[in-house]
Amino acid sequence: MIAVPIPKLAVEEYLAIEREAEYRSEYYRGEMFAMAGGTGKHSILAARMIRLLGNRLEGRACETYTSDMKVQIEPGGLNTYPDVSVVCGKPEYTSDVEEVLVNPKVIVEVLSKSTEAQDRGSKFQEYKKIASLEEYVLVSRSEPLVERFGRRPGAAWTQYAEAHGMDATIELESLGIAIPLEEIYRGIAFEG
Amino acid sequence: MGLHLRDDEDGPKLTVEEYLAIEREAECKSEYYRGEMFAMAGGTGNHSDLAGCVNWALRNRLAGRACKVYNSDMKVQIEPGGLNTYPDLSVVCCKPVFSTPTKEALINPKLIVEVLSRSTEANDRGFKFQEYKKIASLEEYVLVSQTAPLIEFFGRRPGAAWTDYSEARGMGARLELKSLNIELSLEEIYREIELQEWKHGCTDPQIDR
Repeated sequence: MIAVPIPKLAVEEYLAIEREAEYRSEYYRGEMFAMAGGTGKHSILAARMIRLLGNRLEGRACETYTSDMKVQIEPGGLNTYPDVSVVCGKPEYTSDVEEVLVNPKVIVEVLSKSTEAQDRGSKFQEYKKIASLEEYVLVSRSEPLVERFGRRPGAAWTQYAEAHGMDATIELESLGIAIPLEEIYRGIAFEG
Repeated sequence: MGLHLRDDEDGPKLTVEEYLAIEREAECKSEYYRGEMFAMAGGTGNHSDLAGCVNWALRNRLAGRACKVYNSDMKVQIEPGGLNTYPDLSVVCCKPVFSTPTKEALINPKLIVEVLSRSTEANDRGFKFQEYKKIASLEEYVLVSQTAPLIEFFGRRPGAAWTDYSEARGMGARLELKSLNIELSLEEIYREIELQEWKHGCTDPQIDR
């Protein structure tokens, strides 16, 4: 295959395009990548995570963001839209326009077939570079299964846990909250 | 899981014994899962090379101990009728136990290694890890990247829940495998390996499972 040189985009150019765009794109090292729209089940699970997290964080200095909010890993590096981001304390953005968040404490991704490899692999590698991030939560669509990766502030990522089955409960240690999978998956139909 | 060989979902299911009989004569490897067979993609030279380097490093460290390192010629059976697959590497310490007297499918690995490739990464990290967790003897699951000197591992204490995770990243890093009480250096594994570049945002379509 012949490599066609494409001029690289600056992150500022990406942001300008994104403000006017009809669909979302991620940015990574000078290039834009269109993001796939989610299915109904994906959207429902993301909405439930936001509601369940939001309810439990009520009255605390924490905010829950939807996938409208971009997160920037490093200038010029990955800019993407996590399904759910949680910030405790003061949110920090890359500019006064508050378009791009840089200090999430928790990120949640609802897995789908086309994004599972990235969410578990290269995207997790990128998210690990976020200094404020302490917990990364993956929500399965194909069975009641929530996995979490964790670390203590500033330390290496050494924690893993899974909650599997409708009777299980996922504990998010960095937030000090627990969510029964029954609340996440109630009424959700699984194929096969 | 590889290519789905049968799409007649209502067709007769294969027993694991029928699968093993087919597999003995087959020219390519297939996995078995709940009555169906799935052809396994052949690996690239790079994939094979990397699996070989990890095999070599493990064998060096385990020399003189009662542990065996099997390559991907060895099937592992998770449970009868459940997944039968060929991990890139399986390590057994003490006595290997097989599902049949013909010693075709190992059932008691202590450690499994998968070299990640684009078409299998989601499965290796997701579905297959969920299956491997059901193996009572398994204490460590090791994932080896082809795109960077990067090895991740998941671990647990015998009989306990899977609670450990860590990564060794960079040529200077070392990977500690607690279940085997050994350390591998990424430099010795990746020294001769040509790293692959997989473009961000490009993923192969995932096969339904």
